[in-house]
Amino acid sequence: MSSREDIPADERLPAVETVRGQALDAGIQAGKESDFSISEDRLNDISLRPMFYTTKTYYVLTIILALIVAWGAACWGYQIVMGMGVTDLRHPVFWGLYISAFVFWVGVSHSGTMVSSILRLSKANWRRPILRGAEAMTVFSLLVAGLFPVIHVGRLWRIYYMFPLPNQRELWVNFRSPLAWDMAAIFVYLTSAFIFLFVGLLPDIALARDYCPAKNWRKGYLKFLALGWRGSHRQWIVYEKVSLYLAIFILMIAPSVHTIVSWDFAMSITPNWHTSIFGPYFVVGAIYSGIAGVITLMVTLRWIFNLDEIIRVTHLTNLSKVLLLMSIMWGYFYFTEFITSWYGNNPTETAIWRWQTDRFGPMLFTMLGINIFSIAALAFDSVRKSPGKLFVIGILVNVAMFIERYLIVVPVLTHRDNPFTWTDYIPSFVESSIAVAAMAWFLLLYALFVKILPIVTVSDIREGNALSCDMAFGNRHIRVHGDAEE
Amino acid sequence: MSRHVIGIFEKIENAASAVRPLERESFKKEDMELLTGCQYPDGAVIEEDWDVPLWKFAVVGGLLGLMVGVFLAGATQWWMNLDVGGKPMAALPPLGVICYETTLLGVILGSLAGLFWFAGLPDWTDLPYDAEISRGKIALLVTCSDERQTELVRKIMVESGAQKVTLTEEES
Repeated sequence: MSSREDIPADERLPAVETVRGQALDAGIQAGKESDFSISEDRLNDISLRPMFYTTKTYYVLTIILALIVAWGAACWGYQIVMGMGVTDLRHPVFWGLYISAFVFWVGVSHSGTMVSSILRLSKANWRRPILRGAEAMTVFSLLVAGLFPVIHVGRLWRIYYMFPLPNQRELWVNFRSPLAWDMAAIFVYLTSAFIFLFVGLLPDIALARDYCPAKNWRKGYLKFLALGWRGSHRQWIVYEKVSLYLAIFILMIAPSVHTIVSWDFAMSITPNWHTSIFGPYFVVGAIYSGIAGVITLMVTLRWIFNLDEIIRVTHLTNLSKVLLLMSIMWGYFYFTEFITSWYGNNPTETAIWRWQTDRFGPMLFTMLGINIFSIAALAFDSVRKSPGKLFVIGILVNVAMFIERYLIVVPVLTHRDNPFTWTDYIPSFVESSIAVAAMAWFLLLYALFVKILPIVTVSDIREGNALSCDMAFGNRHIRVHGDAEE
Repeated sequence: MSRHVIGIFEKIENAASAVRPLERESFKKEDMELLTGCQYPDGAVIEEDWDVPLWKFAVVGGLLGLMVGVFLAGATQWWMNLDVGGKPMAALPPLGVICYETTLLGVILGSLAGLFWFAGLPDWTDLPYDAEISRGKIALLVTCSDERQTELVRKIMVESGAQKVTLTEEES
C-alpha cells in the first residue's frame, strides 16, 4: 500500500484541514439543510428552553391531561369500591380492554430504547436529537403498561401475589405461569430502560445544572442528579464504554420482553393463540407502533417547544423510512399467521377467523385499512418530508395497533369451545375511561419530564457538531461527519 | 495545598497545542486533565493509556443475577416443595426464562456500578471545574506544585490561545 507521500503532489486529494480552510475562506457555512449548524450558545438555549420556559399551549395541554387523568383515577376508584361488576369482564371473557391496553403499551415501549440502542451501535449520525425523547417514551409507556395488571386484578391489595414472596401457606411463587415470567421481564426491562435513560442524561443534567440560574428551584435536584459530573476525559471514556454495554444488553432484553408477553397467549392451548409465530409477530408489531409513537412525540415536541432547529425534517424523514420498513414487516407477519391457519383449514381456527370477520368486522377492516394506507402513504417522498402528515400517520398507526391488540385478545375469548358460552364483550364506560386516561397519564408524565430534565440530547448533538465540518464539493457545500475510529 | 490552573479554549486545536509545551516543561500526563461538554476522541488533546475493565463488573453482575434467578425459580421450589402429579420440582423452561432476565438485569446493574466506580461518581465535592465547558468550550486543567509552575502554565496557555486562565487552590 502506498503512503500519501508516495503519490505525486498534483494527484493527491487535499487534506480535510485544507478543504475546511478553503471552505472557510470562501465563506461557506452550513445552511439550513445541514444538521448541527447552530452555535453552541444557541444550541443550549434551544435545547433547554423546554425546561426553563413554559408556553401557554403547554399549560393548556397539561391541565387538560391532568383532568382526564383525574377522571380515570375516579373511575378506577369506583371500580375498586363497586367491584369488577362495573366492567364487562365476565365468563368466558376475563381478558378484555385492560389486557389489550397492557399489550399495547408494552409494545409502544419497545422502540424507545431498542431503536436508540441500534442507532447508537450503528453510529447513525441522525440519531442524536431523537434519542432522549425515544428513551423517555420507553420508561413512561412501561409505567403505564404496568398499571393495567394492577387495575385488571380488581382487588389490588392482593397485588403482592405477583411478587416473588412467600405467601400465607409459606409457598413461594411458582414461576410455571407465563404471567409470572411477564412480571419478571417487565420489571427487568423497566429497570434497564430507566438506567439507560439516566446514563444518557448524565452529561445533559450537568449541562442543565451549569445553565440553571442559582435561584431557580431546579438547581438543587439538578446538582444532586448530576452526581458531580465534570466531563473529564476519563469520565467520557468510561461513559462511552458503559453506553456501549448498555446498548448491547438492552438489545438482548427488549425482544425477550414482548416475546414473553406474547407467551401469555401462545403458551396456552387456546386456538389462534397457540402459535409459534406470536413471539416475533408481537416484537415486530411492538417496534412498528413504537416508531409511530416516537414520530408523533417528536412532531409534538417540535410544535409545542419550537424545536424545529433541533428535530429537523430530515430526522423525521429517516424515522418514517424505518416506520415504512416495520409496517411492511408487520404486514408480512400478519399475512403469514393468517395464511397458515387458512390454508391448513383447521376447523377451530377457521371458525374463529370467521367469527372475527362477522362480529368484529368494522374493527378488523379499519385496522387493516389503516395499515395498508400507511404503507402506501409512506412510499411517497412528499409524505415522508411532511411533519403534519407524519403526525397523522403516527396517530393512525397506533389506533390501528391498539385495535390489533384488542382483536388478538378478545375475539378468541368470546368464542370458546362450548357454543353456549359464545358471547359479546363491549368494554364498559369505566373500562373505556380508564384506557383513555392511561393515554393521558402517559402524555402527562412525558410533559412533566420535559419540565424537569433536558429532553434534547445536547452532549450527543455537540459531539456530532465537533466531529463534523463543512467542505466544498463541486458547486455545492456538504457537511462531513467524522468518526474517530475510521 | 495543590494549585490548579484552568485554561478555557474556544477550539480543540488550541487546547491540543498547549499540551506539547507543557510536556516539554516536564508536566506529566497525570498532571493534566481535559474537561469538555461532549466526548472528544481519545488523543485529540490528551491520550489516556487506560483500559477500563468494565467487563469485570458486568460479569460479576451477571453471575449475581444468575444466582438470584436460580434461587427464585429453582431453589425456592426445592426448599418449599409442592408435589403435583409427579412433575419435576423445578421446571426447566421457567427456570431458563427467569435466569435469562435476572442475568441481564445483573449485567446492566453491574455496568452501572462500573460507571460509578471508574468515573468516580457520585462526587458532590467542589473539584476544580469551569461551567464554560457547558457552552462548548474546552477546559485544560493542570495541577501545579508552586508559584513558578503556576506562572509557567498560565503563560503557555495564553500563548496557545486560551480565552481565560483561572487559578484554583485546593486543600490536599
